[in-house]
Amino acid sequence: MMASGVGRILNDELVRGGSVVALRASLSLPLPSAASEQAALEAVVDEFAPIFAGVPTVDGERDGALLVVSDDAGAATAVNFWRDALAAGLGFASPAAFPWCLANAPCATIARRFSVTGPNCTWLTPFVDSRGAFDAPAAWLADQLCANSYEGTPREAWLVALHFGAQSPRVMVWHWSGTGNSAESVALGVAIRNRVAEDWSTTQ
Amino acid sequence: MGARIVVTGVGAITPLGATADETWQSTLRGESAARDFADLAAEGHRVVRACRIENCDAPQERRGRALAIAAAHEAMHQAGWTNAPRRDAGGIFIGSTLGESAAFEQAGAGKAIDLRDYAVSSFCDAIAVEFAVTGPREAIATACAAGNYAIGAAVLALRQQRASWAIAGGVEPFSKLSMVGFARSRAMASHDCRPFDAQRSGMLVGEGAGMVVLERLDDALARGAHPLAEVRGLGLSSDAHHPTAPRADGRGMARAMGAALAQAGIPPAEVDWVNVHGTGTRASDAAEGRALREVFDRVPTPALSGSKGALGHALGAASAIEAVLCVLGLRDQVVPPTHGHETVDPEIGLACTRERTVPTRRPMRVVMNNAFAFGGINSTLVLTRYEA
Repeated sequence: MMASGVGRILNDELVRGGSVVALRASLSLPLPSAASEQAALEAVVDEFAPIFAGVPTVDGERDGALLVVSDDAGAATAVNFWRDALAAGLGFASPAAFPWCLANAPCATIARRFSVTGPNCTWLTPFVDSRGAFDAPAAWLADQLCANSYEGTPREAWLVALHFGAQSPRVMVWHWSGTGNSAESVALGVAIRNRVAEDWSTTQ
Repeated sequence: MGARIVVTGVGAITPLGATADETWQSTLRGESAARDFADLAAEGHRVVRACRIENCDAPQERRGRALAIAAAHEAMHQAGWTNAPRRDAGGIFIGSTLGESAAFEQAGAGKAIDLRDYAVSSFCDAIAVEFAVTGPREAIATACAAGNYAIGAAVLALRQQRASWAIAGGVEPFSKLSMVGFARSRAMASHDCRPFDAQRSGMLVGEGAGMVVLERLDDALARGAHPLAEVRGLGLSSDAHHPTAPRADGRGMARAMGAALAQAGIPPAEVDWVNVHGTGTRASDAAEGRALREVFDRVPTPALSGSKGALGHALGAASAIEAVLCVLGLRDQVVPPTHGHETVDPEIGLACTRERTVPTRRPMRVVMNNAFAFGGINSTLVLTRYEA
């Protein structure tokens, strides 16, 4: 299915009360050595396509939430941007590099590439404790999937974990869908957190 | 609909005041902090006009955490707490754009520095240490909408019982890196920032911190606290359109506003005031204007005001500071003037307040706080006056 990395089509369901969330697919890829974070992500972003393909676009838009967690997005670009600006003169800094100084640039890039127009969010947090790192994104994810979806229409969300640093730079993408209500979202958030933290820890 | 979440304390430090109330009074007087800075000219910046806090003596690479802690102390004090209660159940939810920008600039200049100590999460850690709280921490990096996001994250954590009280907000220390980046992106004003004005030419960089204390209503009332406002909804969307420019048709912005109102269960006709994002750039203000016209196409347009002509654009702190101003506006039943807004842009077709405005049709009850960002991020926070 994938050109490289580890990709899986899954239908692992987590059920709590009347709520069901399912891990539809996941993908783990090493990030290539590249001159910038932008270049590293853009080198692999097309390989995410199968993870988004399960949700068709409607009028050119793909409805769902896109949540990104990273420990270092933007940091290297910011340092290099300023280094280059000092070298070239402040009036000659790279305007194209500036947006990548912001940690949400990867989320914006993925949203644009796959036309995801729902909520997006980026957390910057150390991966030292992977369960802790995924606490907040998993809680949001469960809320996005469960809240107000009483009508039974599945809601979609993608979670992306990114590490650009020198040691083992890599990306993981998970596609979740679900229906349910807010009452179960806490328990489901914990279950989602445990699953993605385990995946992140075991696929290094 | 989960538990009702209320604001019981606010704090802010901005170029117009060392406290939320100082900032509020200066804003009501129509003042602006914008001026030219000689140090920026000497360093070769093409744009030297900005809004800066001039009496902060913290080391540059610790400036952000000093601002965050100051605003958090004020918010906690107003909430009635000298010491944090239930330290294991207190949550810290902070949004920012770049973290301690000066540290990244020093690293770029060649200084050996561990940047993990200066990332956005360092603001959460600093506040947590200051108040000795050990509950959940979230460092949210959603650029210029980060303050709204942080407040929404705290609301979710309170509703999910992951925290029993929270400090939430945004902080951004003055960033020379951002001055250069926005200048090179042709986003900066030729002189002053003029939100929604026909002659607007761009933004000015600001700085500061805005913090709120949030609690579940039942908990706040049980301890005798006085709710200042209620957080009713956070609407989010993504343009998925361009790395820096918004969709010209404002569709994503309108979607965020609509989602926030739907979550709040409030129809557009009941909105009394919109604190516009209003950066003063040609493209963003035009798109926001179209979005506002779409959301309020069948009802009278609410009062519109913007703060970035007065305070500059405090980036990741901006929407948190503006949320604080929204709370104070609901408290005092007044909409502040929009510094720099003089002439309605025919393309936008919407007027902002030119002076302090007291609603006369009905008591002011509902305010929307818009915040949009690079990467096509759209957010709208809905706050209401506290009603039992």
